[in-house]
Amino acid sequence: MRRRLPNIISRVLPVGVFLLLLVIWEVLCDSGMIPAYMLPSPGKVVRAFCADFPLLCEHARVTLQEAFLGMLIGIVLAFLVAVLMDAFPLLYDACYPIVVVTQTIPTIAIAPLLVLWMGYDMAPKVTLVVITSFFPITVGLLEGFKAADQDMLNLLRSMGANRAQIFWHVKLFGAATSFFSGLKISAAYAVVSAVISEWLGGFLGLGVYMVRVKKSYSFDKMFAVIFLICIISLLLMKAVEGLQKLCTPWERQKNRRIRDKS
Amino acid sequence: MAVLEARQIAQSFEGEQIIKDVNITLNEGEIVCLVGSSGVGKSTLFHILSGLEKPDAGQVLLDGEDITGRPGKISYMLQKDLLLPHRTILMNVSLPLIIRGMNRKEAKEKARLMLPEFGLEGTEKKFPAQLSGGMRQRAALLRTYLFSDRVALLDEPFSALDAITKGQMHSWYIRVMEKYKLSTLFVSHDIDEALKLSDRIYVMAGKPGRIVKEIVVDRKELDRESFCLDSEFLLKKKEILNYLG
Repeated sequence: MRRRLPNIISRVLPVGVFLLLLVIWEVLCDSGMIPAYMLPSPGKVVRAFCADFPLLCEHARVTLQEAFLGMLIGIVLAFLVAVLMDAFPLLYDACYPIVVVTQTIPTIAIAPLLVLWMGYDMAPKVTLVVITSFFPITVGLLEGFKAADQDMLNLLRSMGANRAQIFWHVKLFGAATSFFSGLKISAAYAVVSAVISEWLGGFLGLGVYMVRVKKSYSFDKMFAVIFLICIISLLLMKAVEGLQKLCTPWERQKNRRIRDKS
Repeated sequence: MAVLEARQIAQSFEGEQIIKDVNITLNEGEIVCLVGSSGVGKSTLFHILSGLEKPDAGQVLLDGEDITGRPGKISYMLQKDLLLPHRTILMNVSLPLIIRGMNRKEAKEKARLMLPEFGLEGTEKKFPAQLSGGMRQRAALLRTYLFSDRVALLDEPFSALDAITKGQMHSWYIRVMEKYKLSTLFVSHDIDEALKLSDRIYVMAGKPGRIVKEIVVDRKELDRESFCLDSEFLLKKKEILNYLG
């Protein structure tokens, strides 16, 4: 019991602080210290959220589609690139700097170009998500592949394993943990990237909705959509964590040893 | 009859001679130990015997067949168990069979039959992290055995274990080895262990490393435990220490 208590506190504390901030915010707004047209009170935001909920859901569906599709393509691309780079050291040396550069591309700067090139449909949004999600996953995979124990690789070679077998039995699963770390970062950025891309043009999506409500100075709706984006990103990250637990059952067993019967 | 034979092995790395004129014979059913200080080239020799490295000169013969520089014939085992953390014990031990092209189901079935013999019953679905050090080491031994049921090359197989587990592993290993007519070549830092287990001991020393002495351990009808307390044991130990200098 004694050890569980701090655990509960550490869970409750952040929620408490969050609620406290909301209360301060509410008080500041209600007391008139901050004009209502500048910052809506949390109560108003919640009301706007509830009132517009069906509309928000419709827009969120599109944004999520873009995020998922982008991440999916990002994962496939990352696997291809990482596997090839791992198999051919020359390719690794040649391409690693380029992979790093893809991460330094400022999302905001490239988004309008993508819209110009690809139009107002889903394509530029998905592409932007691909660009942002590709890097963390690729790096995660590459590091995972590289972390393979040299003695383990030698052992498999001594058993007569070919490169494909070594990759399958040792490297691929060995990289699972770092792959999921990369995927988690990608998930955190995917929705935001899709939204940024939607700002610049489109017909549906949370970004499009955001631009509309901003133009009509409906700040309460603006905050409602910001919160929704936060919630979606958090859920997405949680989903990746869940997926990781499901896919790496051996990690859960680490602390559960059985008795040596002999 | 010699199961494994290394003839005149020499190897250099980046211009530096590591081992030279190494001759080793392992006869059927024998346990032979290679002792030597660290850096003398024992690991290099093991890499050559397992076919991972091709020597500059010399030959490795398995049952008279030249296997120099050809991996896939003899597997070796290290101090680290090197079990794949993401695979179950059953998958881990059947790995060499799967790599050799046996289908998964058949390989697992064959491996499953051997689990009790290696004290691993009930662990087929466990992951390596759930097993004790001794059990993991036995799993690694079973994997080695399933790969090559003639010769086992073991590089300090027991040195990561605590003293009690180590003692248990020794007697267990001797029993299994005799039952399955396995021949063993192992590397050890531990002279006591070498004298307790081996029929012969090669002492490796010098730079470049070579075999400076071959010692035949004659236990004179004594069992292994009693031999460890015999005066002959100490004499042999002293002799080996002298050669290791």
